[in-house]
Amino acid sequence: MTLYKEQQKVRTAMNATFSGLTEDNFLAQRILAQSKGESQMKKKWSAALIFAIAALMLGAVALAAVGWSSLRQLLPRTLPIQEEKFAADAISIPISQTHNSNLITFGTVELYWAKDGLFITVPVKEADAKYVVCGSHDIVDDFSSWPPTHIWSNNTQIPADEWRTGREILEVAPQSGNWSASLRSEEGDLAVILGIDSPDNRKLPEGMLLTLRFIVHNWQTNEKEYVSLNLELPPMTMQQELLPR
Amino acid sequence: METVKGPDSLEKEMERMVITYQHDLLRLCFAYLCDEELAKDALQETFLKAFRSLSGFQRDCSEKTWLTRIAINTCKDIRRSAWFRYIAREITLDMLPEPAAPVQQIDASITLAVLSLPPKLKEAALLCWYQEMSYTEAAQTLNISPQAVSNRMKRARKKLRQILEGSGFHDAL
Repeated sequence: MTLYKEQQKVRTAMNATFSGLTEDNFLAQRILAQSKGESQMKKKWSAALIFAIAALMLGAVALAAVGWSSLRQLLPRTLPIQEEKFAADAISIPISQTHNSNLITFGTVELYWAKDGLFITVPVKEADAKYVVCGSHDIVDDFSSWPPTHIWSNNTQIPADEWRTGREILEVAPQSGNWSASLRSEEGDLAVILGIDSPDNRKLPEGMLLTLRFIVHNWQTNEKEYVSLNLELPPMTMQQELLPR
Repeated sequence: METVKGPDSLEKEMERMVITYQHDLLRLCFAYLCDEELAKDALQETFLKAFRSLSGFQRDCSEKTWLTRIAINTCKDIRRSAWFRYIAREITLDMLPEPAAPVQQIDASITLAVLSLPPKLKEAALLCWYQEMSYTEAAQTLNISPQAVSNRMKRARKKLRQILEGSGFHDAL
């Protein structure tokens, strides 16, 4: 059978089977409206605030008093979070962290366990000065070429070649968790945030081993490193919901 | 002199693309994810990403190839999520949306057979058969060589025949 006949058979079959799928007559308007809303949002808010708002909408907060240290600097003071309500033991620092990367190093991981999930902040740095790390959320999507041509930096798109100043870009892409974000401090330090919506609540009070996986992708050489970050967690206390819905 | 498109013309272009490609891309996303709500989310995300990148689109490939590439990458991101992995993904006919008209058994069998192919073969099959792309266009979309597409299609054909013969449909494809 020729390719053309195969195409006709499969297309006819699948179109008949999928005939119940209905298009959205207002899709274009929604996309344009959403895009306008996003560009206005980018002018007003930092990426850190967007993440914090998303975390609030999940009904939990990814920050707590002890673990606020690195994230605190990333968030503007206008956030309506009542710091005094955070318990001192809300954050659990892993007993030990081990990993297998040659390209990046990890700072001290901070975790927060609330009713809606486990929130993990992973500071990341390049292991050698010839590299510079970026988060997947820093990339300006451009599917017409590889590597991507622009990076989000301070809510501005700048050419990646200009941003990297001769260094090789290592994109740190989380492969664990239900959602992720990336944040930068004013000093330019990168933190990758992961959320796990349904952690194993039986194990967390007793302590557990948690492995977070990342792919580190060198844009200039196209090489990939598959990284596991192993955390030995002490027993953790689940926090009550600290903010009203 | 390079012509720079203003925001109004970009919006009009996006509206045209949505009207032209929504039908096929929705079905492609559904075939990838086998979930109507996820497919609609993926479709919206695809056009949103396309609109954000539209001013930089160099037209070194066709619009359809470009949009399809974005759609597949978007579907792959959804598939990678831990939540997606926890859901049982065995494909059955009752998972598909109620068709607008009765479907012949052979058509349902071909559809289920394509949807149950291993991911890389399914990807190639959806592009070459369902989206009617050439091997070159499919290769551009997937960022692999045309030879690799050809190899995947050979394996897809073989696998599909095995599945369809098992369902009693000989020479269906």
